Amino acid sequence: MAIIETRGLSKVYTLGRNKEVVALNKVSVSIEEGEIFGILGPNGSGKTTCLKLLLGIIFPTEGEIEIMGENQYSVTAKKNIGFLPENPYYYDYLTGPEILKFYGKLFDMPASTISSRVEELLQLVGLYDARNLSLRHYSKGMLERIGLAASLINDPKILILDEPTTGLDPIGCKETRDLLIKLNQEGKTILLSSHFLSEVERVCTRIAIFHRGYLLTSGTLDGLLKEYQAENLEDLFVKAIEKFDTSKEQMSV
Amino acid sequence: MNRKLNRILLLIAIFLYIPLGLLQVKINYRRTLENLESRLLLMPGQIAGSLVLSGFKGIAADLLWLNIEDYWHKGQHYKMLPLFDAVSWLQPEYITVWAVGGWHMAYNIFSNVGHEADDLEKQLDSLTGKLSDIEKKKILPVIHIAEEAKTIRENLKGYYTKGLTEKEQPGMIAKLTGYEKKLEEYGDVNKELVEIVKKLVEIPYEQILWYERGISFLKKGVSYNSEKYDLYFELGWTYYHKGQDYPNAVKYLEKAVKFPHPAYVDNVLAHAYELNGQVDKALEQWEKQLKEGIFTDIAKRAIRCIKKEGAFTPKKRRELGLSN
Amino acid sequence: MKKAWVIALNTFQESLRKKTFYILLVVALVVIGASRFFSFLAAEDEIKMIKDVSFSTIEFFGALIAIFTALAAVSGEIETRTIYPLLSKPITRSNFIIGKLIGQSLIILLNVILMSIFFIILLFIKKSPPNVETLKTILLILIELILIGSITLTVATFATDAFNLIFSFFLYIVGHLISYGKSLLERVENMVLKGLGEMLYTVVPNYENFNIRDKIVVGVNVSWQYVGQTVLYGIIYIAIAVLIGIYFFNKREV
Repeated sequence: MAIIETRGLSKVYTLGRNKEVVALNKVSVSIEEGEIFGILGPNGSGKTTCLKLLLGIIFPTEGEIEIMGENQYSVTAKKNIGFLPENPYYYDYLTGPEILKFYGKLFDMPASTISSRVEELLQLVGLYDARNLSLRHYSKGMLERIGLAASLINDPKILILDEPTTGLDPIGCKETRDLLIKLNQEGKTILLSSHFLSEVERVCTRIAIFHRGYLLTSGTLDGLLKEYQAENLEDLFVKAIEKFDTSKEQMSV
Repeated sequence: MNRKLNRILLLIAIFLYIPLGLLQVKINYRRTLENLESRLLLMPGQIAGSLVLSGFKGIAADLLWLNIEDYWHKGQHYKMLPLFDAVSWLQPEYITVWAVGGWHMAYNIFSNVGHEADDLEKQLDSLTGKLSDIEKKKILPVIHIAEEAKTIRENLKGYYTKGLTEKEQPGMIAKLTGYEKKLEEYGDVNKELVEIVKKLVEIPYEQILWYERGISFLKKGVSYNSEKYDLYFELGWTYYHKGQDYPNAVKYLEKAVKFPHPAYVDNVLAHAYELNGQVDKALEQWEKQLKEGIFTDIAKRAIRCIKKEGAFTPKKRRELGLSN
Repeated sequence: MKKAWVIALNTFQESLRKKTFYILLVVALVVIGASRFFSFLAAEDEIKMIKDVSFSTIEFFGALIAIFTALAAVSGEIETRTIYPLLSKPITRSNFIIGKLIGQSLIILLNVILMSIFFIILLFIKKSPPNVETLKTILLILIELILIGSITLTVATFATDAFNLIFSFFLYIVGHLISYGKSLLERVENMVLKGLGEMLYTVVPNYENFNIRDKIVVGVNVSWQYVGQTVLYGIIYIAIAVLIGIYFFNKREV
């Protein structure tokens, strides 16, 4: 059962006279419940655009989005989503527990639930000892971790993470990876974007490759490796882009 | 986003301008009714200046007021004048400005200018003392003028002034101007002496002008505060007390009592009637006060004195040769 | 609405913790306090001076606080990107705008209360306790300030900070002068110009409606009816501003 589905999703930015930038071009992708889906691609390939569209932060030029059977703006859909933005930044004058409580209240969670969740999450991401520190004193890694905690405050069914390991040291990366796998085993569907191939390789059940706003291909890692006769993900990546560039050339000819 | 719903929001917003506009009309009406409109609106030529000050008129007026106090203490009377105008222009409903301004001009500056004569008189005395009989004879008209000027000044001094009423003023001014002209003929005979006498003639002239300035200032104040007793009373009092100009005093005091006012205003009106020769009206006024329970003791005495002796006000009594 | 309230409290807390408005508040209090040092004037004059200075200070510094708080509200969130996690939560965009409006209004209220308390204490020291008219004046100033803030908030939903700042100050001045313009308008003969002028008069917020200070300070009394009408005017205009703000924010991509 597809928990997230996009059909012909496009985003075009108009800059001035007759100048258009196609950030996303007719992307149709389907994410099943319970999987860890990775969106791969270099910077500017449309990964973040796709995620922002899913969250209703920006609006599609064309196409449809369905999240748990509803459109992306529905409050019901959002109640079941947890989002970790790229380079997360929160109100720096608040402490960790305060920011989590703030977001918790936006989910209409009862106060007692919020309090217990906050404690639980702080322990989970290892920030319990820093609970009295305001966010302006947090390191980048700490911000990433509180961001993760914030995305989990409502115990969401769907977790959307934009470049979750940017700026993390190897230990941080491993911890995040392990946590994601654990959350997935608890039944959460995870959609993440990354340009770190090794991360994606180790964690995702299915992947999609983006390039210049296009969805090049999607499927299980093993399946794709076979299809493109690639040895590893890096090889797959390069071959997929080559194939796309070639077909584009042929089309223009 | 739901485009249709969004557009409806915008339409509602635009639609709300209608009741807003209607409400503004009501507010404007209320503002005029309750006299909340700034008087500056009625002075088209000064809108430009007031545009600059908009929210800070009060503070600007207060700061200028400080300057006025400063100049007063330094004796720089002329510098006070434009400031009185400025403050009263900024806050025309600030009654104190008009009242104090009028008082400064008609009383304090009037008196200060008068005192400038003291030194000059001393100088004149010492100069004339040094003259020989022949020289004195040549300069006799000038000395005569000096004496006349002194008399006029003396008449302007003290409690009961002479020469300030509307009737007397033109005559006074004509006299003083005449003296000035005459003095020019004697300029070559004794320059120093003539200069001093010229100044002595200018002084009462200036005093009369200051009295008039005070009166005009108060009149201007009345035009902005025509629904209150205060400035009518100030005018009435200045005419009565300083100018001994009873017809004008009565005129303004009668206006003052038409508005809510303190009891002493009635008293002054009664006195003014008496001194204006309207003894029957004075009696009427005292009887009214007795009825209304205003200063009943004084009213009783006044009624008794007027009925018995024909006068109650000290000045009138003195004229009739009665004791106080 | 509950979520709007959550955002409102967060906005309020932000201003308190960030201490940005403290400077303005302190300067305002110093100015009000300075008016006390004119004791060499006659008693009546000194009271008038304290009132003049205090009312004008509360209004002017209140306007500065309103404008700067409103600027930080929307563009602050966009610039620091704290808006992303916020908009991904189950809140509507109207929740956001209304929440911000309530939050900044709380800040304005707090500032007005603090400045007013200080001013009233001064009056008590000078043995001239405030009367109802004083409170009416402060109430109208408060509504005016919330209105100023709401307009800046609305403009922030579609314009840059720089434009908004200039526009807000410009509107502050024009809003105070528009009533003078109306009387000039009556002399205009050109119908087109007159029509445009009338439209402008209705559209631009008339901040002078809220100004009864000049009269209160010289002892004129103002009716509750007038106060009520003016407060209603403020509320309607704030509603207009909020609706327009929500309209633009609904279309805004961050």
